[in-house]
Amino acid sequence: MSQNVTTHRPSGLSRRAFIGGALVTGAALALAGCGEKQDASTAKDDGLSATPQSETETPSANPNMGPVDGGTFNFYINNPVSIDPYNVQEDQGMEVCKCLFDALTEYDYQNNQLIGKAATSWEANDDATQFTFHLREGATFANGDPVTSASFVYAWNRLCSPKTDPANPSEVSYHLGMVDGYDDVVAGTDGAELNLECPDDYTFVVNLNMSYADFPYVVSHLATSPVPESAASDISAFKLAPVGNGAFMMNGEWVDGQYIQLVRNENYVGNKPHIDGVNFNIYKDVTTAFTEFEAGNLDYAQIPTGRIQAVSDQYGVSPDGYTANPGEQTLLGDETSIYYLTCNNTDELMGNVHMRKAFSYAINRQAICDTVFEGTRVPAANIITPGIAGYEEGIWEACAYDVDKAKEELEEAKKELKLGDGDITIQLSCNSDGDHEAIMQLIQADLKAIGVEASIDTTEWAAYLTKLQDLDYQVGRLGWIADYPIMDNFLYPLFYTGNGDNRSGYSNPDVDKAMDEARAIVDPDKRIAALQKVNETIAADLPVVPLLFYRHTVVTSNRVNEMYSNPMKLIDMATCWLSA
Amino acid sequence: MFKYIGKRLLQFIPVFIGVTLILFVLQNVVPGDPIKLIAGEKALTPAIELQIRAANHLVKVNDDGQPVNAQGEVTTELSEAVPESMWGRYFYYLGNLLHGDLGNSYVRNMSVNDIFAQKYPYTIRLALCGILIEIVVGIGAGVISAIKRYSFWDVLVTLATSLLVAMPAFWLGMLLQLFFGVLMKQWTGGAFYLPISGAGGPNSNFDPAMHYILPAITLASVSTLFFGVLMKQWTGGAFYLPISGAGGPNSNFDPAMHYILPAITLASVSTAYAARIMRSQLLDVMNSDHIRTAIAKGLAPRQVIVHHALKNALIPVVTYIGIDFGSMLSGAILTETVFNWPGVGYEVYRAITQRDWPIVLGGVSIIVIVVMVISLIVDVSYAFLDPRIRFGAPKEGK
Repeated sequence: MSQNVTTHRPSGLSRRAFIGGALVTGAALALAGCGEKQDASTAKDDGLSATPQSETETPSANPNMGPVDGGTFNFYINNPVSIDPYNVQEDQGMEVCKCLFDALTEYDYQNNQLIGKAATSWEANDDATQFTFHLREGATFANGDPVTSASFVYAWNRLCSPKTDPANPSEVSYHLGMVDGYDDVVAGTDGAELNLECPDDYTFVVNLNMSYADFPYVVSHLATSPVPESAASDISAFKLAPVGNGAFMMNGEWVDGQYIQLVRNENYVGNKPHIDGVNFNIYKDVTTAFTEFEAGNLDYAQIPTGRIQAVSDQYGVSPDGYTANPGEQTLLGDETSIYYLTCNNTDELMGNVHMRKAFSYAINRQAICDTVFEGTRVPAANIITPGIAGYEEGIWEACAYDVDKAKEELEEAKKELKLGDGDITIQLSCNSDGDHEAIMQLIQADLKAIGVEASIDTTEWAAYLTKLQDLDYQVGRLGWIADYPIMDNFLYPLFYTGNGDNRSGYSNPDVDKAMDEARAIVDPDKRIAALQKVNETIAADLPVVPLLFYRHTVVTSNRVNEMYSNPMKLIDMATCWLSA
Repeated sequence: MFKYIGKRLLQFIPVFIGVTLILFVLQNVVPGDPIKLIAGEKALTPAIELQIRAANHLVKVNDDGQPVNAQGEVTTELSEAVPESMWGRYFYYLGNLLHGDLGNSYVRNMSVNDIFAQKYPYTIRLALCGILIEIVVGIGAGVISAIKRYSFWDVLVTLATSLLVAMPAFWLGMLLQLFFGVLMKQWTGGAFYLPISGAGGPNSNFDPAMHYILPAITLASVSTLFFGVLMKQWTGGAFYLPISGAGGPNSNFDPAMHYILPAITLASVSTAYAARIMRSQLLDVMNSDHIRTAIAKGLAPRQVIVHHALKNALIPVVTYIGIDFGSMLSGAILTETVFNWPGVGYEVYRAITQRDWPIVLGGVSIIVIVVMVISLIVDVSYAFLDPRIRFGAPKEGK
């Protein structure tokens, strides 16, 4: 399940870790405050001493030197929800899982294409209801078992069946919801199995219950990784020490809340990692982790709120935003996640498209990015994020900041709703932790500028979520992170009628029909073009108001070379290397 | 005495049922559906939601654990499933508890027993370190500053206590981390420094024992020096200030700005409070009759302090230590967070915000028992400290 986006979530925090953090956040913010003062003073004191920090200011002495083998990467994460594909969901667990497992495919953001990992090639039938994957031959799991088509059949049924771990059903089996037989398997029907075929050890055929041309992207999700039956049948052991087909393998068990240690998998058939292993050090608090980073105990850390500029100055900024090298250690690249305002389309006032447009035009998004986030968020003018094939900048026109247009739309809305001046008051709802209220306050001021009075209704997270689910709100805030880098993964969940993630109550039969049709288009260019048209239609209806795109806010130590963190915040630990 | 202990142990049962029942009622009152919260902003598909509800007995299930509809037939539709009543869930919880099973976390995909089995040892060891420092340094500093009134040591203790009382634990912890973890490492070229966080393990350069030092100091510091003040007044016990409540969650502007006002407010109130009461209590105790009489009798100062003053003063002290130890054993969220300590406090706190009721219930069940046992021990210890206090049937007049 994709992780949720909320503004105050420093993007390294898993949703679970940070939601549970109102008090912790308070502490963290206060700490960040003190940290700033100390930073300024220690930077002066230590300007000349040979501390790890001062070394980082100079780029590596010999840039021509090739990759060095060896070393252990000390990586900061929060306690993951799961590192077993069975329930892997948020970026923390995904990062570990990515080291341990190769799924069938992977999206290559640098070349904008889907590439094979456990599969070498694949093809679809004419109506995109059947997919055949050709597996890499000779691949094995870390325990020596071969990776065959049967491994996928076992893994996928294991993922979906409630019998796998009756006390803890998988929360992420929905990824395979379009595979024929899913409904019976997930209901626990005796003898039910997914409709998968194994013509031979290295050919894996998937039959879907619908047309879904983007399916090869779905199987880039690590939840769909293969697992060896011999090890995975003991789920309580496998949960803590999964055995995978990836470049690394577990060294001992995951110690809850403390650490996970990985070492290089010598049986791996792909490119062997340069580094000997990865220590995932688990922290509750981003500030504590950052202190460890400053002390030279971590190679990768999340930058605490309020310190982006200081860290950028001290450690240097990566030119492309995604690749870390000595002296270019601060990563600020765009992510595939968005923060948006959801409007209750069933509300009398917010159900009016002119009202929503007035609302959207009135908001100064750049001011929010600058004042609340030190420029580490960017104004959004699309519900699709940059980095997704088919993204068009500025296509949601009403996301421009234009007070005159806002006033025009407001007049239009008043006319349609037969309201006079001063009749319009809006309630803005948000959860109490994080920066949400600060954002709402800026929006409140923007609305006042066009003559709309707004009040802010702040509730605790759990209660807030219930409000959204019950459509008991006018305007609220939400976030979305893509599970797979495709437009479908934004449009379908958020705007298809009746979908659980469609919290705005939006329903447009034309949009529903067009999305269903797009899923059956096998040609990727035509499919993207069709979805772009859908996106335009939705943009004109403006059921929600896109606000900000997220960016990376991480920093690496000066010994890290060629570490690429993709827009989903996942890192290929096999390609990076550590200076000696 | 044994009759008294037996009676107290019997009282545990209604207290325990009362506390857990209140929590069950709260579950129904507090908004937010725990299963919806599992997925957070993203919705669970109905089929998966039904599975999770059935696995956690939040809907009625048959003997095989499969969800049933109103007619008692197995169903695969979320809409047909029948929610389990509060009483149904409570008896399910009590039934499991009698087998020593605290249930299964909604969020963590682990049994609550496993979670606490992992976390409690760390909390207990940290609490023991903290209480040890509190006893040794707290009683020691209090005694010294009381008998050496107006001396350099008295002033030092008074100043240090005032400062530490005013300082939020997490901030002190953070300063200690910076000084001993980062700066010390730089100044000594890596020769001497302390671990910043965590409880040790294969990734740590330190002996596991070293990892206890900073968290233990932090946990103890506020109560320790507080305790110095308490000892100094000989009566005390009234000094339980909410130190750890500092730091609000609604940060609107620059974090540094946000920090200034609460820090000043908190510091001024508690510093003034502590200073004023300390002074008046100090004068009071030094003028008390029994101390003057003891001195007039010609007893040696050591005897006066140990036999007359100290023993009398130990009752509020033991009470305070008992309460404090109980609260340390229920975990310390801030200390655990700042020091990344794998204890129970943060776990229970996280569970509350995520409505992960099995962990909340499990944690509270354990804490209730621990606190009841400690308060029993404290009460029993009164009899040893003060011969006038006797439990059981009154013996006087017979």
